[in-house]
This record gives sequence, structure tokens and C-alpha cells, in this order.
Amino acid sequence: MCDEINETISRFIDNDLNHDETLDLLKKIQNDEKLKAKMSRYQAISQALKTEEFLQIRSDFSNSIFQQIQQEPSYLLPQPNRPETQTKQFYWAAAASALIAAVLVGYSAWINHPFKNNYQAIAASSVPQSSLAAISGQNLSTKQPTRGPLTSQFNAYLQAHNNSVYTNGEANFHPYAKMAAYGQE
Amino acid sequence: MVQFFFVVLFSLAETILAAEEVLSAKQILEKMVKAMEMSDYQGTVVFLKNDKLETMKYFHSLSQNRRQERLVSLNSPLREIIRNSDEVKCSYKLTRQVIVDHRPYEHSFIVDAPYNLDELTGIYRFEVVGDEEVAMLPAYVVTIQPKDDLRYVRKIWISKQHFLPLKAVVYDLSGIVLEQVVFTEMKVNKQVSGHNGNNNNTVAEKSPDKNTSLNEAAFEVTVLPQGFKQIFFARKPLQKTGQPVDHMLLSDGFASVSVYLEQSENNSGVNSGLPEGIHSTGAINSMSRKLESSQLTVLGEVPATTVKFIAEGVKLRQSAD
Repeated sequence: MCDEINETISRFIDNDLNHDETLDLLKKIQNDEKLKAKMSRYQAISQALKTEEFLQIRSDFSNSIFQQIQQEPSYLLPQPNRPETQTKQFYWAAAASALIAAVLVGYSAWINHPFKNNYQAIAASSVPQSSLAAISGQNLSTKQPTRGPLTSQFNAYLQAHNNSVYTNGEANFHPYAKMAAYGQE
Repeated sequence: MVQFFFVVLFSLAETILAAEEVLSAKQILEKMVKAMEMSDYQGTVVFLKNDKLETMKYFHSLSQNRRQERLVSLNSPLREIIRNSDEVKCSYKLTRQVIVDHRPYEHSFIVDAPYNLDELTGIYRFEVVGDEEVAMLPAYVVTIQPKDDLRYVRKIWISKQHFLPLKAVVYDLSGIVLEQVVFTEMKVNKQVSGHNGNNNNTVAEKSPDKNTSLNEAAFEVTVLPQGFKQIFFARKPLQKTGQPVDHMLLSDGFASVSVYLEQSENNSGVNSGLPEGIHSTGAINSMSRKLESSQLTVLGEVPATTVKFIAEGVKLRQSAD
């Protein structure tokens, strides 16, 4: 099993994987810190062999990007109701993109090297973002901050304060005032 | 000799008339407030607030001394908003939902300017800074410049012909645009002239329950920035939980600040409190903090220092229930 994954990573770096195998590998790597570290080592070795230069990519590169996204300040503006899974997909897609970026950094280090023509571009660069988002959405384990109640309270205050809720296109604001339905033929 | 006398007389008359046409910024603003009440006009208006752009059809009518404002959205969600005095009704076309809101402290969707500008000369400086065209209509450009750093700068483009606001912009202290309302076209159907400016609508701004209910607030605002007054108070639920919230509105005529106080604990088990500290969204700054078992939130279209200043001066009333 271990040899198999090692070989897969090696083939990934050599751009020998097909589309499905690439997606499958990225999916596995996302959930396994050891694999991430291994991938990083393989890339470093490959890069050093090919270019005689060494550029170390931190194994937690994509994670750090993900953490930074999570630590973004919470904006209290009225937000459109986005399904929670969609939000998570966004974060995972961003993390996957960061991972690809890490791979590309390594790739770009030797792409300009005199020996570059001897090697092919890595497969990950051809993976569609939509596919990554799709597979990333299947691995949702990180808890997201619950912003719903916070935003609704702020919105309620904002609505009572001024009339901007009427003019900024909010479709789902609920007033403290009366609500009714009217018949329309 | 007689001819010379008449020439001099005509020249003097022309000079006097010309001098009268030069209006001060305060006069232009006062004319604007009256024109907004007394004109029957319509147009297309663009709102840029809270980073959102919305284009709407605007109608203002006057019938039997009662004003009506009507906004019709051009983009989804399609809706019509009607203001009759202090009642605002919003009807959604798709969901057939009607929302009725009681807002005695507002007068216009476009510009909320005070009737009496004399009271504001201590805190604002009014100045005509130029002439420009908006929606192909010549306009005075009037700035409302605060004399301190506790409120934002405003600029209003006012039609020279009808004295109606064509554009209004709110800037932060560094000159960045925070909010903007612009007419892209305007048609004035009728303008009532010769009124004395004191109509029945001014009664609507003075909500009858204002003075009686202000004392019912569970808190008191001990210090206010110069020019700010308490103009409205209500205790009512603002969210689905039904928990009553004390809401006091403060205003200096142009800028307004709301003070909210509600119990921190709720029965839902969900942390419903806003995070403590200062937060910003568009022109709105807010500050939340604990006040014993309650949560205090102060928000308004004023700089963060102003909401902080007001929030730190709020105390619970000793006699509060």
C-alpha cells in the first residue's frame, strides 16, 4: 500500500497520472499530513535532481492558507443566504488551490531551467478547479464559525436604525413590524 | 437729467436683484427641504449603500398635504416601497409578502435633512463649493462640513431650478465615499409654491409617544457629542425570538446613532450576542459591550470614535425593572 502510494506520488510528479488518478491522489493528500510531507519531499528531491537547486515548500503551506482564510474578519454586512456546504466547498476549494499553487511553485522553479525541455509539466496544473471543488466538498470536517445569529441580530439593529435595508436589495430581511400576505390574481 | 436718474435706478435694481439670486448654502438647503416636501416629482435613482448598488424608480407626490414616497425596484427582488408619513410598506412581487414598518424618525429615502438648520451652525459649516450638472440638470454643490471629527462630511447636489436633491454623498474623514444616492433622470410634475413651510407633515416627525416613552428606557445616555439629541425611543422585539429591545435614536440633524439594549441571555441556547468591540460596515460603525446582564450596542453612520464615545457614556437606570 505504502509502495503503491509512493509510486503514485512519483508518477504524479512525473506527470504520468491520468485525470482521475490525479484527483484521487489530491483527495488523499488533503486528508493526510504524512502524505503532504511526503509529497513535499518528493518534489524537493525531484527538483534538486532536475535543477541542482533546492527550493523547500513547507508541507503545511496549504493549511496555513486555509487557516488565514478562516481568520479573516467577520463582515457584518447582510450576506446572501449561501448554503453552508457551499461555503465549506469554497474554503476547501481555496485550500486545494493553495496546494496546487505549492506544487506550481516547485514546478516554476525548474521550468526555466536549461533542462526543462526534458520534463513535462506536472499533471496538477491541468486539473479543473471545478473538479477540485467537487471532491473537496466531500471532505468537510473543519467547523466553520456560526455567523447566522450574529448577522441576523446586527441586521435587525441596522434595519431599525435606517431605511437602507429597503434600498440595498435585501430579499430576506424580517421586520419587527407587522407582516402580512396579500392575494393577487 | 431724468433719463440719467432712471438709468441709475435700473442699474441699482438690477444689482439688488442679482445680489438676491446669490443664495447661501444654508438657504439652498432650506429650499431643498421645502422643495422635497412640496414637489410632485419622479425619477430614476441609484443607491450605493453598504457596498451594494441598487437602481430604483422614485416617485414623490403630495396630496391633501400628505406626502407619499414610492420606490419601485428595477432589479430582483422586485418590490415596491411606499412611505406614507411615518409608515413604510414594502411589498414583494414574487413572494406577495407585505412588510409594514413604523418609522416616525425618517422623512425621505433620498436625503434626510433637518427643518431647522440654525441649530446646526455650531457643529456644521455649510458652503456652496461649486456648480455641476447631475442627470443633465444644473446643480449647486453644497458641502456640509462638520466642525469636529465626530461626524462625516456630506455633499449634496441640489437642482438650481427646483431645489431638489439630485445627488448626495457621505464621505469618511479621509474623503473616501461611504454612501451615495444619485438621480440618473428626474422629472418634476408639479411644484407647489407660496407655502409657508410649516405643514402638517412636521407633526409626523414629532412622534406623540416620543416624550412619554423616552423615560421608559432601561438606560440613559449620560454624555452626547455636541448637537446630538434623543429623538425617538421604542421597546419592541427586533428578532424572531421576540425578546424586547430598547432602541433609542439620537441625531444631530444629519447623522444619526442608535442605542440598543437587550438581555444577553436568551432561551435558545445560541450565543446571540454581537462580539464586543467596534465593528464597521460601510458608513455604519458599531460598538457592543456588556452592561451587567445586558448587551449594549451603539451604531450609526458616524466615525468609530463617536459610537465609542456614546457607548461608554451609557448607564443603566437605577429605577429600571
